[in-house]
Amino acid sequence: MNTIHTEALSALVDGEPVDPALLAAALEDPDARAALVDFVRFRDAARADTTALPAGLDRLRQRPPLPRAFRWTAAAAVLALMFVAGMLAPQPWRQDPASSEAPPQPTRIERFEPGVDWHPGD
Amino acid sequence: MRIHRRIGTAVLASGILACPLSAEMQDTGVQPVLQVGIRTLNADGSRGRDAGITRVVKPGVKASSYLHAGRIEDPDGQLCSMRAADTTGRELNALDRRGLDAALYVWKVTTTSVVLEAGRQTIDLEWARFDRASTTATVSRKSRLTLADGQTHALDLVHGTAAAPCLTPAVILEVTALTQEAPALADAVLRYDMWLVHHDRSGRRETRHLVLSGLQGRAPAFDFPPMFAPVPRLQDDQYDFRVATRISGTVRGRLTQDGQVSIELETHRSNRLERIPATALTLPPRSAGGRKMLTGALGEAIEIQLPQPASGSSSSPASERDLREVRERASAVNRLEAPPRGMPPADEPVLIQNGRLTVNYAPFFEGERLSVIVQVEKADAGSEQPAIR
Repeated sequence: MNTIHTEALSALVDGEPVDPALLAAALEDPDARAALVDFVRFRDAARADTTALPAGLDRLRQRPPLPRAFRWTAAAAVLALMFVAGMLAPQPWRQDPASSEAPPQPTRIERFEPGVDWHPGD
Repeated sequence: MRIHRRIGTAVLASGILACPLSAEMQDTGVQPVLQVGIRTLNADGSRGRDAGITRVVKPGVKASSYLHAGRIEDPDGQLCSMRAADTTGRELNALDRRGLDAALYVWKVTTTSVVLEAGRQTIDLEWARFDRASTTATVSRKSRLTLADGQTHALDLVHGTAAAPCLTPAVILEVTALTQEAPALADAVLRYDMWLVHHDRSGRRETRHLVLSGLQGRAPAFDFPPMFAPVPRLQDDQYDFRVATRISGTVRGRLTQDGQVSIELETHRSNRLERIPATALTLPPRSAGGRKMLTGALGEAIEIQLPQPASGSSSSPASERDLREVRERASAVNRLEAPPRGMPPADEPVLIQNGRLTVNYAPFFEGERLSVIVQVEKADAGSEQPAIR
């Protein structure tokens, strides 16, 4: 069995990025294909196990509640960061004369006059 | 003596009154400068040496310069030494005289300014060349020239020997019109926002935008990406054609004493019939151009409309089959067998005659409008690099 192939398929089942060329080679490998079926079975079995954890262990999953003041400070920091990012980000919809492709409205119109200040070049 | 002085004063005053500085020059404080010089044309492509006189030109005032190249005692034709002397308002000094007496070639150039305006100088020019210390001029000329700012006009050329140690096979005499900026404004950097705006017959607008910058008085060049107009298909096997319109030129801005900006816009328009995809054979463009002086406020957007072509056409074999026939006809012309072709009518925008597709530019562009919009601002000194958007 090619361990590289089985690792690639394992990564695929776990939702990790896989080199498409390596994946194609792995799927050609009969041993790796068998391993892929085993991975799927194992995952199904793990998903089907809904037995509740003992109460002591289940408490370990829960995060301790954050203090109320800390939560408000964090929210304010996020808002401040969003505001600064908005200020610094390009704003193509704004009419900046320096970068706009649309020409400004001219205040007056002049004309080259043929034979006066405009002449054929050839 | 007193009478002579009065006459001289009157002549000088009449010259100044007859040749005032243009309004643009007074507003911008610039001074016209004329350079009379000789320079070597090197055989190896390296930059040659030069000698010359550069002076601020006064309206109506005559100025003389002497320039010399080579020495009589050197082997024949060597042009390794050169020197220039300004004799306006003074006599030649001893050093000048020794140099002139021993020089292989001496030029005397006298100039009188006739008209001075921003970007243009008209001068009366009188020059003569004296070879090998002769008191008789070998060649002399009188002419009136109008030179644009920065333009050089060649007057004379003498050849030396190619074997000269200083690699100077030739020396050229020339005059160059320049401009001296007002000291208080000379370091100002200007930013030019330029748009090319095209409206077709239906009013649809297409634009190009360039941003240029440069020290005031400089003339950064602009060259808008071309605008393309499709050529209609008149026969099934016709090549795909388009007409490419290219607008290029230079723009020179100068701040005026009252805070405005003087703009000199030099613009060229060329129309070229092109095949799609492009082929190695490119047809020559039909071009026209002009120069306009404007004054406006900083930041003011001024539109300058370009004339549509009044005439001119381009033509090309219309298809592969026609190209073959054109080649056969060309070989027949070489055998003096084929009759000459007639000119296609000029009132049709596009037509095919005798296997050639012709675009007549006047009707082709009729009803369309092409303009350049220019907007000049003061820029920071650090932003002199031109950019294209």
